[in-house]
Amino acid sequence: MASLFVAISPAQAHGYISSPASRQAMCAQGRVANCGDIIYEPQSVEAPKGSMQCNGGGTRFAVLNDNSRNWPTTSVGQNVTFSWVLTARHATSTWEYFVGGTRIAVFDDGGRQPAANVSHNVSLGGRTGRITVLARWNIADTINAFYACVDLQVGGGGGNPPPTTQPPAPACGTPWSASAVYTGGALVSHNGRRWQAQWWTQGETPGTTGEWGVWRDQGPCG
Amino acid sequence: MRRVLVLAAVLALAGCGAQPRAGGAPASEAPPPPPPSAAPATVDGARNPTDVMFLQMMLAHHEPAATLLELGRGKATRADVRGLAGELATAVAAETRTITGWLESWGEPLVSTAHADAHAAHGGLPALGDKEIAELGRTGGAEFDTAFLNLLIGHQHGAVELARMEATSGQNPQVKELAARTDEATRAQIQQLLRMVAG
Repeated sequence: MASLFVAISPAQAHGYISSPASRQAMCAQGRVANCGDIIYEPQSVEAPKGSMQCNGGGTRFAVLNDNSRNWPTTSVGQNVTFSWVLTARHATSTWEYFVGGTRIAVFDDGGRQPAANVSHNVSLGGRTGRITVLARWNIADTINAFYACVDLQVGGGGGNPPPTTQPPAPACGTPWSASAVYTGGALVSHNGRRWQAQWWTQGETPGTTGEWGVWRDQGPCG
Repeated sequence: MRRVLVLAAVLALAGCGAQPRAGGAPASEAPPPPPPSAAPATVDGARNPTDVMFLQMMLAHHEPAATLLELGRGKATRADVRGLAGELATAVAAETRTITGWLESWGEPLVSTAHADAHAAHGGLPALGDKEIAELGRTGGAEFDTAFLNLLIGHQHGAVELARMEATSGQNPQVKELAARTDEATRAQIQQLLRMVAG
């Protein structure tokens, strides 16, 4: 009955789009490597309102603007539900969605605090092929907004099929060694599959630690 | 009325604005922390206020997390989501026991008494409270799974922030080691959770 909801989120923590995965979510989930500091705080892409850049302008998190990164896309239909991870629920003026400089949707919260879970259904207006959607979460009582870019592969259908992504082709890495020390994130190959360590480990054989154990199966490799 | 907000202390230590952080070393270069189950039952006495606050805030972080994870373990549609919720619930319970033991051995309170108003003044409210969990409980199906994952991811980002605060400003080696493990393990969890929610 007692509530102990401590404000565990320091002030710079706010929010980003998790589904379909935004660029910062791609970095934070390890799908895109060498992203820099964004992996620690994908929720913090905060900058003054009005920018059309994926990082909101400025120098911080500039990797998000780098189209040469070949960002993975999520396959979608014409109607897409964008859902957000929020770590602080700031009073909100609007949520805006853009494609190529054109605003395709806006949701006006009128300065209210958003719900803990925010999602918006957006029509892509007949666009097809590879597109990048820029989302802006405009805070009501500061000069700032939060920015997120989402890369989509838009099919012709009208539905909203389960999003699927196209990961890069896997290659077998270093073979696992029983005597080596591995830390979280380390990738090895074992029995024709790739495995990623979730935390520090030594002497635990990939494939024997269970679905939620230290070694996570990353699929077959060649 | 045990509603306690300890953000003021965090703001004082971590700074209020959006500040660039030093990048962490790649995992391959970081000193290997022991596995999560290896936290020692006792802790050295030497400590500074950040060590105490970090432990208090981790306890406060784990309390709503335990409630959320229990709900997810029972109600998620997807088996992988239920499995992860169960695993994390076990880890949260174990770590709660360890941290409680450490604070008690120091004779420190389990709950910080820091000032309560700083948070509201800062424009945001914590994303995970009784009300939010109750609202989540009224959803179902795929909608529940997505909402559960997003709430949990947001909550876990808070643990990373706390751990990095302790890494920067803490003193006690065992508490700092706990923070290093928390940072690494929680970001691995977030990776997994983000992959789940992305489809």
